Amino acid sequence: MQKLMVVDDSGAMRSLIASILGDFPDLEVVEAANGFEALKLLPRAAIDLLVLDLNMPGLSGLEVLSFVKKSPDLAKTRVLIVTTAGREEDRRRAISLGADDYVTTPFEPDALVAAVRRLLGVGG
Amino acid sequence: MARPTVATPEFVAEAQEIVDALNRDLIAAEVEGRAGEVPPQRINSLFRSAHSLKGISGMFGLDLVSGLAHEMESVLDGMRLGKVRLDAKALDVLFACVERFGVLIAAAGGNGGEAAQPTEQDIAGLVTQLKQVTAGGTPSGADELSSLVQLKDEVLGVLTEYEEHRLRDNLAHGRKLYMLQTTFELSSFDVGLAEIDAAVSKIGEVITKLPSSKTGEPGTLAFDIMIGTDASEKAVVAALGDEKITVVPIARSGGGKAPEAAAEPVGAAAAGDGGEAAAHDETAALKSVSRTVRVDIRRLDRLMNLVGELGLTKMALERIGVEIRRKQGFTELAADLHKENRNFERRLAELQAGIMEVRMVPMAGLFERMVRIGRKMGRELGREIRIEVTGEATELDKLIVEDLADPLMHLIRNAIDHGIESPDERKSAGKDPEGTVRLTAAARGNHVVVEVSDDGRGIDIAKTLEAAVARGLVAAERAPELSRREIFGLLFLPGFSTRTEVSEYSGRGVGLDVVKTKIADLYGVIDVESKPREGTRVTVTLPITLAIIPALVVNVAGRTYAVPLNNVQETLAVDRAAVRTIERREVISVRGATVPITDLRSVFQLAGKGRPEVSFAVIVGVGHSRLALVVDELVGQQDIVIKSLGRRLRGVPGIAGAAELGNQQTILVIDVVQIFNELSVGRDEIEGGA
Repeated sequence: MQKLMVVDDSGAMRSLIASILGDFPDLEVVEAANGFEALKLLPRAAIDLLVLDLNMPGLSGLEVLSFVKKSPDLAKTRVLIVTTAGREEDRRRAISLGADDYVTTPFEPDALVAAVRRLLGVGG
Repeated sequence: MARPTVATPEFVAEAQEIVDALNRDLIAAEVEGRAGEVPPQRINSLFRSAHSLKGISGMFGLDLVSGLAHEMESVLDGMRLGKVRLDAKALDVLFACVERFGVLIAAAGGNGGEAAQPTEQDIAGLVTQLKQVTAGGTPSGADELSSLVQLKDEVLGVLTEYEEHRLRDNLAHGRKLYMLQTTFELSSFDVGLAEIDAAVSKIGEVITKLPSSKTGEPGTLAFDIMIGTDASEKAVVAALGDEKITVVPIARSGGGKAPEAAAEPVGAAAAGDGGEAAAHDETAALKSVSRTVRVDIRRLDRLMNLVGELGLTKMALERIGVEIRRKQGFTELAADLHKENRNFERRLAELQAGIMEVRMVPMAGLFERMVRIGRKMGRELGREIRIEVTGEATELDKLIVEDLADPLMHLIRNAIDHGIESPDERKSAGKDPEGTVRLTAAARGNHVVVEVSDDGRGIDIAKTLEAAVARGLVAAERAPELSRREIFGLLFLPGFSTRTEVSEYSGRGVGLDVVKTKIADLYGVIDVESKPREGTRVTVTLPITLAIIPALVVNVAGRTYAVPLNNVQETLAVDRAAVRTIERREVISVRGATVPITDLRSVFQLAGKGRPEVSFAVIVGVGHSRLALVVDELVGQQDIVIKSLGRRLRGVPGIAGAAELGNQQTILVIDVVQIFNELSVGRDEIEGGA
């Protein structure tokens, strides 16, 4: 069983992403409503993949990402960034901070599924 | 799998929240802009809202919203990066966008109502306007940050474009930069960060918060928080008031040495023994994603219905208790039953109050919408107005708040269009050229009083009378006899309007009569007071909820009815001799005022038993009019849960729904508004006025 955490301040987006990934075999989806919750959960939840929104109040996605990438304990945690069309600068920074991949909203569900599949090393 | 093109209720609720937040921030920005400068946090908050709206509406298939939000985001991004100015013109465009969002999202949620849907051209026009705002901006210069300030690349590299701009802006304003280094327990670091945010906001701003993983202590989190401020190091330490926070000045390039510690948090002192506590609430933390839930109000209605039914059960139990006592005396069991019934009653009241509490929402959201609309109307009608809001924290049933939007908008429209004079007219009258419209709400027991008042020209009594006579709403010879209250009442009659020209806002053929009906549908009462040259005040008194209402139970010709108590003003015994006939209508005198009287027997065409010697009149009020309903007997007051009628009875005039009494008896609830409409009493009352 692999674990994925969706970090997004939008409940509608979290539900949507969770439902898109609902059919994924052997995957547990955990949700966090902001960067604070994500940082609280990350050290103990053994998350394999973080699906991270960049635009959040309080702690931004980039701040969460820099934490993940600096933590030796989270070396195995992959990060998939959810960016929005038009915010290429933020995406560039995320990649330079070590994000593993990104999807751009509005995305097709298949694009998200493919990215998650790739990062988790599941199937073709 | 395709993208969802259906807006889920969760999406709609969230999108509406974002629109409300945008609106709130725009109103605040307008005030702040007038007073001086809009703080960067405000613009950033606007930017983030536009960004979020764009993101989610794109995913849920609202392409018009997403497209417009995208353009709005670009403008706001330019503003927060200091490239575009947030001036009055830009604000107007942004307000217009937010208004369109509101309409589009309401329509997506199936609550479009009568609001005209923006067309694609309409949106394209706004996009063009937004682009013009952006184009008016100037690109900001960009020296390498590393040449301005001594910070490591690993810090500078994490900054977003916005944070970078804030850093530059602080440098440009000659502010000092500090790095606050601290370590929190994992379980409470958000609280700690919020405390720092609050403390820093008093002396400057937080530029970025960088989580630092350097300290290996499990269960703790170390942060480097960069702030910009005019305060000295000592003052910063004092403002923070927490010795565990290390304050390290950040030097500018070209002088001083780079503070090594800036990326090397100490934190050891604060590591503490948080590990255990953190582990303890791990399960809780994994589960709790958010502390609020959104609930469809229909679910609450169902719960409320259940409470109503439990109320019936309670009454049945009480009846059984009384019966037992009557037959067997006050035995121990009867006493126990009585005691437990009392307990049941108390808990039930608590349950009811609990559900009611959940339905209550503050009026703030509605008021904000009104301010936005009023602002737009004032601009389009060439009035200078200030809209003042008080009591927005007052709570009211969510359904009532929603239904209040239309009538309230109409009242504000009237205040601006009919009340507030043009700036020139005001100046020559010795008034502030800027007119004031006040919107207030206040709780009064089980009611909420909402007032719309203005400092405009007031209602012209002579003109009002003249118009009413001209429209045949009042007989010319009666006109001089009308009281002030009765004259103001004329304003609420269908077809009344003192304006001949048509403006977008007041010439739509609907007037205060519609407001009156809508308020009456909410069991509310409306009242007007006005002084020439000083202004007008419209007072709307509403019950705090419609889910469960107190009613007066009455008997007529052997049948039982309930009259919503919100409509009841008083009850009195009627002497047949006191009933007079004026212009073929029966009327009685109630404290000097003439009130039309009608027998419910004839309203519902009840034959049966003859009228008793003494009958009673229930004086009911709707909006501005009153009517005396004759009944045979007053049974008493009771809380009822109104249920809609089955198909068989739907459409019976004068009946709002059914309710059950404790003895399994279904009674009909009288729709006072409909009875008024059937009899067109409003008009007759005026004509019969003495």
